[in-house]
Amino acid sequence: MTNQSPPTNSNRLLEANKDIFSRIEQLGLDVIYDDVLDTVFFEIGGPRKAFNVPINEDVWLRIDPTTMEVAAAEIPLYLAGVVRNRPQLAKFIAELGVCTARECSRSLQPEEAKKVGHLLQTWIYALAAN
Amino acid sequence: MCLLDLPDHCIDYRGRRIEFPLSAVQHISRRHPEVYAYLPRICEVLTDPDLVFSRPGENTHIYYKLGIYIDEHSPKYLIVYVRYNGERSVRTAHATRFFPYRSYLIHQRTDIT
Repeated sequence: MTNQSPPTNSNRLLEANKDIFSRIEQLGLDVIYDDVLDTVFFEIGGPRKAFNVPINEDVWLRIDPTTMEVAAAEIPLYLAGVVRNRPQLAKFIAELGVCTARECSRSLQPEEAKKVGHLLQTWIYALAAN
Repeated sequence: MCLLDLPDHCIDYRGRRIEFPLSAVQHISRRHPEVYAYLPRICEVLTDPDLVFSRPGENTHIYYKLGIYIDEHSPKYLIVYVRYNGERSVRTAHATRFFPYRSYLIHQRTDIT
């Protein structure tokens, strides 16, 4: 019992997130490193209630249970594991200007937010395909 | 709920002390608002988990317990990440229906069918 395939309703997930780029544009996208939790978050419009679904070994999407909108991506054990396990992802996050020496939060500029939007979209498709 | 009233540590199913510092409480509340109402029950997850997974490379155990987190859409586990690196300490918590990848099951409650 080391795994379980994610989502249930792929069509609903895709439908709810087809406007993700306009949501990001409207609500903003923050990247946060929380040093106490050792976790990186990409949050659309700030924290909100959600449940977590794993995309792969290191990344969880946070999904609003009512709307099925992706509210955030969560990357726990960032320094403890992700930096070693996923150097490309870590490089991408570092290039966004996230510091990991302490808690750090940045609201991304539109071009940066768009890049993260593409990453989120990739994860949404991955989730829907499983 | 007053966050200061929460315990500063829990005892897990093997009798180990798990630190639950106020800083972790505050951060979980902020980043995982869905867990806020369940913070007083975090120790239950650690004391009597349904399942515990290990991620040895990251010195982390992930404790799973059903029946605490209430969701009108579907049953979900309340899960708690504990890092052990010298002391054991709660790192984060959230709600999910899914099990972690690249993890090994190291404990299962014996009365689960």
